[in-house]
Amino acid sequence: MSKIVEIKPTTRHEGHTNLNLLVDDDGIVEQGYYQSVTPVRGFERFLIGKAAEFAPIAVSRFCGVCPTAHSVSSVEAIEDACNITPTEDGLILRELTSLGNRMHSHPIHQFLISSDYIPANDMGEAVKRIQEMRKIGQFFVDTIGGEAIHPPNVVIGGMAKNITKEARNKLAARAVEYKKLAEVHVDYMVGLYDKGKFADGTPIPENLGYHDFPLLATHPTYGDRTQLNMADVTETSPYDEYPKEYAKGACTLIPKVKGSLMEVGPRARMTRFSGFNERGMIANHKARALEIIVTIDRVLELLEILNLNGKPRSEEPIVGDGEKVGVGMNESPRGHNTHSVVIDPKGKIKYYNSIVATTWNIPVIGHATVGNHYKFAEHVVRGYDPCVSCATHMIVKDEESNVVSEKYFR
Amino acid sequence: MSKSLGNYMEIITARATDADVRSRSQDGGIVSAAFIYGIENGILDGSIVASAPDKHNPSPVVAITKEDILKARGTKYSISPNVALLKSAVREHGLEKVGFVGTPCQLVALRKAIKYPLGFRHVGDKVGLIIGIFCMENFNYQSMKILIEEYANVSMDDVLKTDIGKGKLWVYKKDGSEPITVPLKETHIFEQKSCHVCTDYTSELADFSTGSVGSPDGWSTVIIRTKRGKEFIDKMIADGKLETQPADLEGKGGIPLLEKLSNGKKEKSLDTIRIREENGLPVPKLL
Repeated sequence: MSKIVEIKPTTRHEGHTNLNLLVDDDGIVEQGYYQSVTPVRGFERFLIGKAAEFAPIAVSRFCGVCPTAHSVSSVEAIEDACNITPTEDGLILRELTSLGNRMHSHPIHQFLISSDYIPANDMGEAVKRIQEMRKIGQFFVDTIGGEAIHPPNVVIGGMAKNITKEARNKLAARAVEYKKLAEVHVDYMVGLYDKGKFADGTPIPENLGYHDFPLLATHPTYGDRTQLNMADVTETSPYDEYPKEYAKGACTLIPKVKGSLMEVGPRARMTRFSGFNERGMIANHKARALEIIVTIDRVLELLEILNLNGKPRSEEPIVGDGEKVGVGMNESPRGHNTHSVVIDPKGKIKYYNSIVATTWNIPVIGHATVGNHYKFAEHVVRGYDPCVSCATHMIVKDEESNVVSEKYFR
Repeated sequence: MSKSLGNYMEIITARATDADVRSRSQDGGIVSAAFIYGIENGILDGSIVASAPDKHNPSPVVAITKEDILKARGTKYSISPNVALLKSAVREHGLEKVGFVGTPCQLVALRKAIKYPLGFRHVGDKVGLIIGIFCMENFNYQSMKILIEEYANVSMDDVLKTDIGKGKLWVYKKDGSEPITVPLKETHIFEQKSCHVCTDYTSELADFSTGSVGSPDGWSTVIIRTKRGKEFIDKMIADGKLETQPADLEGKGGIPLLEKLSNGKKEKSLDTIRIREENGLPVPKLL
């Protein structure tokens, strides 16, 4: 006889979600349904008819946690649609902006899960390191992107501005400082994860968070549209995936590649590009920690090759043919992020669609809770660092009466 | 404390000890000396100054070395939108302790931007020093060109520097000949209209403000207003970068003159503001 356990709302992540679990008499999860209930904002609709240049500015507002991922995906998509080749140094600056965001985003997640893993007497030191790392990450986005949140310098064709020599030297010095902090911090965190128990002493089941879905990642640090054929990607309704009573409340579509759900994020990237081969919830945390080192190494490399006198932006006209679906991909902190756009010959947006990192992970998270006690389910959720407001995508209609779910309008 | 000069801690008369700084500076070379001192001692990592390769049409630049600052010496009697460059200075220039010099109105803008950082996130906390200059009014470039070319009858190419004092606009020529003067009553119509609703003559929102009025030729009056300004000036004096003499608090050409001019500007502008308000015209909202 199964029981239903509802966790409403789930905590310590961005956005609003519910976790609905069918559990057996021992409390073991038989089915897990994780759903976004963050209200829909309608970006993809209101962008239609607007000038292409507005898209990166607008979509950056999907969320304040990883705005860079969205503006970068957006400009990449528009460049693809308009056949614009961004300048070499523009791309370097853009990647640095993305990575600056990742340098702040990965540590902040470790702050969110700190009370699960970090013993109380280490907490002060660990949080201090996290905050120092975040500060340096934000300094990167501030300096190169123009603002730490919603960077305006990410523009179609490259970046609006190059940086000066003094700024570069300062960034390089901070990056070295960051690497020192990161090495200590990552060692410390991985040590905690390897202990196999939470800070309160509860043992972590070894198979916690296991699932059999494949991983999706296109690039270790930036994003590569050649690595995923969009013809293989389908978006299905939550009604196809969830029981009706849960599908009704869900605000995301379910994306699939060749009919399969996919996990995206640090573990996917680390597995594909850095030889990481663990699985489960702890592996997610571990991959995220280890990726901090991959990130900072790439940042140091990019600062080295950046030409300060290089042209940051291509001046090719921003006009499309009204048919070509431009695709922009960015490996955001939480995983693979795709924006697709069609631009008309007047430079206006004709179609806009985004499939963002957490959208991929949301259905996977539910499955990953299966097989263990429901008390661990929230930990599985946190393993994916879900950031839900950007994942919000649609208002689900009641299929019988054909009305939009009324509760969003109350 | 004095109502006419705004809040202040101390008034001194000073000039830069470095002759290189003083030459080609307007008066005592205080601004240039302060920025050079700040940069050389790590108190500032750069500053925004008005640069004028064409002396009368200045534009703001980010100066990070002594040479950059020396290039920008001297008052420019035309507008340089220094606040416009501030965000750039802390972003792509990566500065974190910026020295800022500006006119009273620019300091109002800057202080507002620091207090209400709309579009100015992470900028205000990176301003390391705010120097204000005394300012009665300003001319836009075209007005200045007319005054110099039509009224003083000097080609723009031949002008070494301009000055305002003793009721006249002074135009100094590069050939070192006698300066040509234009009475201020003829220049009034060329002033910016916005200057007529400004009630701040001595940059009351600066860390310290400076200008020639109230001090002998070649010296500057320095009104120290904030703790940060006081510490900065004290350090400069202790390191021998400024020589000082007590401010002339009694004499006709001393601080009383400064107060008289300041009060004059306040009264005149308050009048204009009143008239504009009566006519339903917009007036500035100060802090």
